[in-house]
Order: sequence, then C-alpha cells, then structure tokens
Amino acid sequence: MNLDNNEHDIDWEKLMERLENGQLPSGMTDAEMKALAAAREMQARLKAGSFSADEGWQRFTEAKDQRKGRIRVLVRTALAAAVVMAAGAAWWTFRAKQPVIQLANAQPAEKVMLRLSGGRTVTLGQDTQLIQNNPIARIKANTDHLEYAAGSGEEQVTVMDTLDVPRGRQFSLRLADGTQVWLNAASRLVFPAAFHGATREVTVEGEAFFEVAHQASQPFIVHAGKTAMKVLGTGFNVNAYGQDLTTTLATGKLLVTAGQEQLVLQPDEQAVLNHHDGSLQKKPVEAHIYTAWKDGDLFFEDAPLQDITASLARSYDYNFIFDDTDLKKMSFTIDIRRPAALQDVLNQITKSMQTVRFEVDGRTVHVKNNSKN
Amino acid sequence: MMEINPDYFLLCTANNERAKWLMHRPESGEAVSFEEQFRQHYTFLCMVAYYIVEDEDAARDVVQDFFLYCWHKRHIIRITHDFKSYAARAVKNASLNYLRKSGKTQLEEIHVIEELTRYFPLEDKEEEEQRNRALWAAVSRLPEQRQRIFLMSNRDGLRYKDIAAVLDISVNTVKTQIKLALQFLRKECGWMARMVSFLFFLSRW
Repeated sequence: MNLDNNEHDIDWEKLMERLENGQLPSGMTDAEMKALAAAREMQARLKAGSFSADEGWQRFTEAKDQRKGRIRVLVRTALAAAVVMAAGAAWWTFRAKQPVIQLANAQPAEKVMLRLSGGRTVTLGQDTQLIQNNPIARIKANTDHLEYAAGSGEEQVTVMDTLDVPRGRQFSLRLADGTQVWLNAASRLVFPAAFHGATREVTVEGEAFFEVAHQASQPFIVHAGKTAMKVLGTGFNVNAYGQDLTTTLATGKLLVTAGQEQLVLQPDEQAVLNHHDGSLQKKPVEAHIYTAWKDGDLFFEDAPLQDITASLARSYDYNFIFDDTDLKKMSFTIDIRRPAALQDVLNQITKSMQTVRFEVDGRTVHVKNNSKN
Repeated sequence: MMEINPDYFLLCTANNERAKWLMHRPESGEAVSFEEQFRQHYTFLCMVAYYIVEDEDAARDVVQDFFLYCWHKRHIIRITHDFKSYAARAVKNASLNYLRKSGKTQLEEIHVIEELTRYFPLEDKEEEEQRNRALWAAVSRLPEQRQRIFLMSNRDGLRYKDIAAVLDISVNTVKTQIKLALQFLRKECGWMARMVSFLFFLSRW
C-alpha cells in the first residue's frame, strides 16, 4: 500500500491552524479529513498519560463522599467557635487567677529590609518613603508595599537588589515591569531594579506569589532552589520553605524545569520537586488553598497540627515545642482571616480540640496534652 | 445527565461505605471491585472523552460524572456484557452532550466529531493497544528537538507561539518542526494512513 499517495492533497497550513484553534476550516478534502481524524486520534492517545487513575480515583472518592460539603460544615463550626471563643478566652484568663498566664500577642522581632545594589540598606514597614530616584529606577515604599518604576536609563542592571522579609511579616512589591510579587514571612526576593536584558529573571527563597506582567518578547523566569519557572502569562505560588519545593499555578500557564526534567502546569495544578531523587511531579490541587496567605487568610484543610504550627511560627515569629509528640499528627481544618495576634489562632484550635493546650513562654509556645499533663 | 442502557448488570454486595461493589470480568467471570474497575478504565475513558471535548478538565469531569452516576445507581444498573465498551459508549454520548451544551463548538463541527467517533476508539482491544505502541515507538524515533516541540504542542497543549517563546526560536520553526513530525508519524504509523474515507460523509453537508 502506498501510504502517502495523497500527501499532496493536504494543505498542511490549514490543518495545523485547525489543530491549534479548534476551528473547522470549510471545504476540507477527503485526504485532509483523514489527516485531521488521524491527528486528533493521535493527540488523544498522547494525552492518555495525563489522566492518572490514582488522581482520578482520589478525586472520585472525594466527590462521592461530598467531602466539600463536610468541610464547609467544619469551617462554619470553626467560625462559630471563634465567636464563642472571644468569651471563652476572656473566661479562661479571668478564671486562671494564678500568676503569669502569658498571651501570644507580641510583635515580630525583626523588620523588613531592602538591600540596594549600591550597598545601601533600608528598613521598611514604618512609613511612606522615597528610597531612590535615579536613571535606573524610582523606588517608593509604604508600610507593607514597595514599588519600582523604571527610570530613563536603558543599561542592563547586573547587580541585584534584595528584599528580605523576616518571620512574622509579609510584604508585597511591584517590579519595574509591572509584575506584582507577594512575599510571605521568612522569605527573600533577589531582583534587578530594572529589566533591560533579553529575559526578566528573579530568585526567590521561602514563599512568594507572582502575578507576572505579560511581555512576550522578554520571558519572565523565576529561580527557586534547583528549579526554574518560565512564565507564559501567569499567577502562581512558589513554596520553598520545606525540603520539597512546590509550585502551584492559579492562572495562566507555567513551564517548570529542574535539571533535565520539565513540566507544564495548568491552573489548579502543582509541581513538586522531590529533594531525594530530584524528580519533578505534577498533581491536581485547589490552588486557592496555597495562595490564601497572600489575601490575608489562614487556610488549612485536614492539616496535621505539626504543619499548622510550622506555618504559624513563621507568620507570627514564635517557636513551637510539642511536649506531647502524639499531638503532631492530629489534623485540623481552619479557614479564617489572619488575626493580628497569634493568641486568637491558638484559641480557635483549643476550642475545637479539647485535648490540646498551649502554654506561652516568651516567644515559645508549648503544645501540651490536656489529658496527659 | 447520562443515559444508561438498562440491559446491563452490576452487582453490589452491600451498600455501606466500605462495601465492594462487585462486577465480573467478561472473559474469566472473576469478580472485581468498583475501585479496580475504575482504575482499570479511567485513563482509557478520559482519552475517549478528550478526543471529543479536547479539554483535559472537561474530559475528567465527564468521566467522573459517569462513574458517579454508576455509583449512585449501583442497585439499578445491570451490565451483562462488557463494561468497557458500555462505558466508552456512555462517555462518548456524555462528551457530545457536553459539547452541545457548552455552546463553544459549532453544530456542523459537532456533526463531524460525532462522525469521527464511529471510528475511535476501536472495538478490538488488541488493535487499540497496538496503535498506542506504534505511536509511541514512532514518536521516540523523531529527532530530539522535533520530538520535544511536537510533544509540547500535541501532548502538553502549548500554543505554537508559546513554544517559540519558551525555546527562544521563531514561530515558523515551531510550525515546520510540527508539520515534519506529523508527516513522519503518518508514514510510520500505518493506522494513520489507513483511515476510513469520509468522502461519503463530506458529500452530505
């Protein structure tokens, strides 16, 4: 059989346009129709690998048990508990007349610092200030936000600026190209004051959410640990706190690379870089859980107390010690606006988990088991 | 929602949460649980749905809805024949319905797609497997750069201009590479050239 006897009957330009846009060009020939059917079948076959049975089953069981509904009930209980708690906490402090019950309501110890390429270091977070105004960039800051605007100069910036956000604080900034970045507690962003090179490249440690300004001619690349993320018009979260680095995509499209490996993320997908074997894996997630922090929310879903306290430690600049290690694994769901004081969060937890008790000592919180000691 | 043909049979041993929802494999009569059945066919069914809706999430939703329907109706549905071909038919119908309701696809195009689904997937399991193997074998023989570009487009669904931006090459280079890949695969995978003729169908509309 001559397999390509009709090759000349095919307008490949038209066919490829059809494959990309999903639009049906009129007046297809039989040969084109066949080629289109083959290409469509081929795409479906290549796609099969994206549909993992494990993920499908997990999603299915959740839908089957209507897990969502259950959580909403839990959250509502938690919110109701918060109301009761205000009274409860007051009662507890009042009742415990014995001396020194410390409350966890101290301000974080350190300030947000901006180190400029010239070597000058500026303390941020106090008031509105104009930090720099020269041909490279104009830099302004207020109490929780920093703004860069490109100056008249066009020379490539080679020495970077560094923004350090300590434990207990959050900060946002607008880069010279219009890209918005939210930095979580204990995080750092290294970036140029202006972008004049072929690419726009920044480096992040800790956790950050990016809302990248689209500029096709100048790709935006985020480096974190051993990965690099090339952005195709996108809002996404990078978490490099733990040993495994996670990147969660909220909107747009993202190419994640680590060594030889690469992945393309769609919205509500997460890439996890395994620190043991360097492998990069993709899983479906609800992105808003991972980005809640930047909107000022505390969101944990069936999370072990150990993970919750690790996050609270960063957010409020406190240390947690588990006097009863069994409590680490206890899971808890919480969805509230982030209160100004850690004490309010602790109160919520103790209210819904009677076995847990927190004892504050300076900047250290001991997690104790009520039924044991 | 989904229309289920009533002459099929599923057996449920009990209706509590942990109960195994048993079905029988058509070849051996061996019992399999609902979970096994799900895991065995999920990827295949998503592929069937994707062929029609051309959207990963929509395909997952259609297949999940189908299994949810089966789950809720597990006391009523009877499947006496092969679960896989029954499921493929149900998922095809649901996917076409999805297209009609979504309003994003023109009616003529839905007709074309409906026509195409008469030939995909194949009834014959051997042939079905063989096509997948032949395709991946042919893809692996593409030159490295062409293979990468081709998979970014056809597997990952990136647009030509995005691939060009990521790899820092021109859009035309991307298009050429993909065209060459498609032509090569057509030659290498016999099944692509052996497609049925649509002449008859095309003359009708």
